[in-house]
Amino acid sequence: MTTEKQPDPHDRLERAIVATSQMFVPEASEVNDMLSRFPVRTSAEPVSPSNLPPCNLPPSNVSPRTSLTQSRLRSFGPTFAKLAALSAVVVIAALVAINSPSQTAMAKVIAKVKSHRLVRCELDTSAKIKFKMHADKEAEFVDATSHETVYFDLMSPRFRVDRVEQTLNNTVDSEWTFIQDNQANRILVSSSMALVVTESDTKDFNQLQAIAAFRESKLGGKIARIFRVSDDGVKPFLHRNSDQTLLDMLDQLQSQSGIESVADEVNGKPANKYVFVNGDDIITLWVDPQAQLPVRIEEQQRSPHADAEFYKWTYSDFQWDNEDVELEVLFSTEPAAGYVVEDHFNAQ
Amino acid sequence: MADWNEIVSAHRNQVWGTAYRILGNHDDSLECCQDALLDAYRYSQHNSIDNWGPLLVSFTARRAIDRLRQRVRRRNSEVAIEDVEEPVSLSASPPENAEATELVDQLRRAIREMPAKQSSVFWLCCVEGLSHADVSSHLQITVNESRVLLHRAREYLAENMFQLNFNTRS
Repeated sequence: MTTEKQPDPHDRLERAIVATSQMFVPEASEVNDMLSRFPVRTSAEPVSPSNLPPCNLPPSNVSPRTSLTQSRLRSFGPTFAKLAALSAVVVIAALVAINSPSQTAMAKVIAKVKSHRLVRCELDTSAKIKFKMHADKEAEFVDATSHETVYFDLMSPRFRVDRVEQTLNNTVDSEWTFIQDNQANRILVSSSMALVVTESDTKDFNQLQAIAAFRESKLGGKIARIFRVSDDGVKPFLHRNSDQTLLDMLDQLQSQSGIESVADEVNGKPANKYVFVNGDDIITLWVDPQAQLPVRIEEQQRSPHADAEFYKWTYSDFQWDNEDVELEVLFSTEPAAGYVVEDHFNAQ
Repeated sequence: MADWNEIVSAHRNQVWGTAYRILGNHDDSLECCQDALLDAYRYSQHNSIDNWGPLLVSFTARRAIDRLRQRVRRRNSEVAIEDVEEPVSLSASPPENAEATELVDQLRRAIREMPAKQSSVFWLCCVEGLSHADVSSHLQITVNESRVLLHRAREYLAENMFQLNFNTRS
């Protein structure tokens, strides 16, 4: 009687290892397929400032950063913070511009505007800005947008810009406020940013990358920064192209001839439209013919500098004296409780 | 910032081979590689990487073994077309091919039944040829643990590979 010899299990294991190591493996997938979930290298999507945390530092205070996302912060943050602040000048300029003696039809509008103390409106900013999308590629022009709520004190040279959003691929809650009081020669920039998604809760790789960038940027927390108005070029009532004063601007607008009211519509309602052209600046104003108040103001600035093809600011949804707030609170440049204060006012 | 195009270009065959040997089909392997690369990205955010090859292979092996286990659970109720392994060899003679296929199949069945860490250590040391130092580093265990796990894995496989094969075919 013979007994069948059982194979040595260790030998069988070794042969299995060899067979596995030497097994046929078809050609690997392409690098692009393997990295198809990597936005780091495929991020052709336009970068919007609304997807970026607002940066509250004047350009001179922005420390050098190296990573891609941080370079976004550096590129867009100060630009849009500055844009939001500077654009306030446009509204005031436009409102007063309609006081041109040559535009007698606007006298009523000016009178109406002056009968109010506070106006609130929505500001949409769009731009085409040169931006370094990839760390290893040249900067390219990309579309960028931003949305803020703006308050103007119509009796005093001060304004406030609020931006509340979820940013960085919806991983960060961000509240940003810019208050400028020219009489007090003081600017308050408040920023509150906090992660609302953790690494373990991310729904895609974009979020994961955003969280990493946010942590690296150290922009989280509540910070209030105080500046003098005269710093960093954010000077109210100065024209940003030529550093003209507001009166200079008005003189120029008044001297333009042929500015006429054109019948138009805003949101399906009749409106009188006025267009002011000042070099590469075009300001368009729509006025409600009944209420005699502005309902929409647009300014488009072409080729403001080498890194921007255009900026466009659109003010809409004007609310006149509808705010049940104390103006001194609304325009206060004192930091709120709970904020870490950086006092650049006295340091300057 | 790491250049992932460059990293993946340099190591894609290695990563792909690891995934494919464990999983045996294209679609699963591709998804596994994508998962592993994302793991590696996360890891690289907090760690400096000196040698990408072992790291990527380790992450890929772990992901692939996880996927292999999930496949078993799914198979309890159904067999999906994507779960059917592709041929192990296209060049060997039919008997050789049959034996190789059987061995690879037995090994896959066995490692998916083993504790996850043992599977990973075994695969990385024996199939991928990684050192205990590399394995321990990427699995966050000590070198001694790696040696012990490998010993246990070998014993388990030697003891159970044939048995598992017998049971599954009976």
